[in-house]
Amino acid sequence: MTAGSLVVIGAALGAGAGIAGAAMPKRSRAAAAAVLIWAACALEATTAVRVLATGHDVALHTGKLLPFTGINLVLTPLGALFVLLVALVAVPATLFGIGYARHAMDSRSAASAYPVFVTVMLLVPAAASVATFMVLWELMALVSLALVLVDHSRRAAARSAGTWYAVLTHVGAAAILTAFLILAAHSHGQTFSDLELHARAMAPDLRALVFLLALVGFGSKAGAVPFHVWLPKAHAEAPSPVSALMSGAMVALGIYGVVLVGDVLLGGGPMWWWLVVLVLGAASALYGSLHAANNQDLKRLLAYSTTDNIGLVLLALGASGVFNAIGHPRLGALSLVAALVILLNHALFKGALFLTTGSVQVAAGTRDLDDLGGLLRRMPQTGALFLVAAASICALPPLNGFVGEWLLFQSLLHGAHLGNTAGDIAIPIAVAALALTAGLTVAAFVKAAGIGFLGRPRSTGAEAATEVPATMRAGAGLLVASCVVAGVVPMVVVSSVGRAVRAVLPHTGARSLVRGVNLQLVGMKGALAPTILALAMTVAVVAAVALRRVASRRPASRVSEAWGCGRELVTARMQYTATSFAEPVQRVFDDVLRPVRDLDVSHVAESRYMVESATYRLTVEDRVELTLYLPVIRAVRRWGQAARRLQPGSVHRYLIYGLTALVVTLVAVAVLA
Amino acid sequence: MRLVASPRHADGLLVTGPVTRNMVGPLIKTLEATPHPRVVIAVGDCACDCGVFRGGYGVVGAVGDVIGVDVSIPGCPPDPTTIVEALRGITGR
Repeated sequence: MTAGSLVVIGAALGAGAGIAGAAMPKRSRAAAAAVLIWAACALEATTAVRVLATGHDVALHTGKLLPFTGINLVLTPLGALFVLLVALVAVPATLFGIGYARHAMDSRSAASAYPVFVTVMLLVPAAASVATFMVLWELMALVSLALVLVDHSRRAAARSAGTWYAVLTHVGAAAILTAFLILAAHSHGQTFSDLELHARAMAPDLRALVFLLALVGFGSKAGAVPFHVWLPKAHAEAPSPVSALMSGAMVALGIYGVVLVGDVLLGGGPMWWWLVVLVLGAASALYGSLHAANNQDLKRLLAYSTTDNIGLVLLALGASGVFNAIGHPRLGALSLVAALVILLNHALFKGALFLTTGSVQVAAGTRDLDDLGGLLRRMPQTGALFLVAAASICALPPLNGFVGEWLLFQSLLHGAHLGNTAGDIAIPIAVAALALTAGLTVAAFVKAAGIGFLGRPRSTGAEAATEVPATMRAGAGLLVASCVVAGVVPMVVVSSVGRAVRAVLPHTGARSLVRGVNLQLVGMKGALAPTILALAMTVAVVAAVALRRVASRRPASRVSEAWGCGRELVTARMQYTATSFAEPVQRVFDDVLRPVRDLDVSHVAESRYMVESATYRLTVEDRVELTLYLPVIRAVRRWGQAARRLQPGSVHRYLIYGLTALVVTLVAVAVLA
Repeated sequence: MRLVASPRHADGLLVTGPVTRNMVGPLIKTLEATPHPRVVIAVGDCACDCGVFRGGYGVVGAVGDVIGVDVSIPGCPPDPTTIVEALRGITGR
């Protein structure tokens, strides 16, 4: 069987899963669709692995499916990497979805939209012509919009999230389409190989315009600041498996788009393009991590953390372009490897975090950290999975987050003194931004894990939480297991990413970073032995525990209650809350966040010296949303109001409009003729 | 000698007054929260034997009646040199 037919069968199976989701009875819907989705993922992933292993593209062209142009699919090594990424998130998320469907996402529309969403995401990286790409891209946007809106009848927030997402993703799509149309107008065709052939001969200004349009368009899908505003809304309102897929896989396809246009179609560009990407990345990383540290809604926190991670990827991507532009292709290749490794890692741990958050939401009925607590005792397995995934996103060795950040730090530190003024200023600033982001991320996830899972429950929902069904635990567990594997044996990940990068930047002469069990930077100082590191850490922990058992003479231990300042009554309200935990960070960044504090004190009628009740409310609004988007929305609304004056509901007025239009047209025709 | 914020970090408790009804529970909880080895020091006549508050409404008793006292520093008020002397006697410095 040829590789091309595998792709087709995979796509057909995915479509079949969509039909199964719509047609099957409620009880077996999710499971039946899941089996077909897994088969589709397996076929597409097999093809992707083959492409990565051999380095030969798999091409498929059919003239029948789409009018005028037909469907063009070419799976390149870069695309294959993203197909693998999507499959890696989709398989566990679907497994999770089987158990989750008993609680939410059980409607017919959701069950049929979900498989289509997965299938389209598997195909987007293989699209090889403008028409195919735009059709698949828009299908992905529409299906994911339908999934965000699953709860629209019950929650007003879901409707608002859907509107934000729809508008931003379509503004993005318009920008992408414009960029592709400019490229296509200067080529003799619309396949990507045609565009690539002719893009290099285009005028520099036009090339820059194409790049910036693509950056805006794909940036809005990737959730980079300032296009990130849909992310916390949509990720929070979508069902958890969909949030995991959107945050892990769909957002990554935005980055795929930037690499596709910037590095493949345009073949790199002048330094200032990439400095723009670098600044955009640094801003996203800082802004995202800051808001993650100050958000109390667990899913919004994760969504902001997605902006943060995408920022890191864009930062690495920008650095890669800068290094390529000033003639250091090896560093450029290394940064690109770092970008893609971080993206892959992000898909794994953020998928796991969204899935475990979904479990928490199902079990406790809330995802507000200030209402959670004590979940580690009530749901030990979900809690442990969340803790490992949180440690991974904080880049602690021996988990996978560490490898990505290590590669990025290495590439930036080696590129800090290259003798190019702009680069020598930008790269150290990027290092500083990266360091601050890493710290804020740790603050955010210490808060998420500590407040959510430790201590005492802060609400009756959290008090009554019990462990979720086995499929949900297994889904999250698969992702956490792959986090551990990708951290202990990252050679597999790095070598596949390396193959994709070598296909994207063939002229750089980049070689594999993997030397046996080590990661060794080529032509630079720096090596990492992750497996040995993990082994050493395990041995050290085991030895410490054993030593303590054997050697210490501990005094007899005594059980007494937790210290509550001597109060008679110790309640859950006396614990640290997520808000109070974030308060120091929020105070330091007061000028950036500008939180709104409300203190309402009502006094007893007899005396103003006696307080009857006091309410304190602190909200951290997204300043970008308030300053950048709200004025636009208000202007559009005013415009709409003004337009209503033309339409007062009077039939006489409408008849006059018709007559006027007719007369004006006739006169115009007469004059012109 | 340092003052610490929590009894979890303390080696000794300094009690400076008689034990009232309201404070019996907190005193016992504080003692419970202090790790061994620990010393309880009653400072002043009020703490040692209720002083002028003896028999007062709301007074349960002296510190020694509620929890064990290791060192008593008498006086109303106790002389600073007596306090220092007693504390140095405990720390040995």
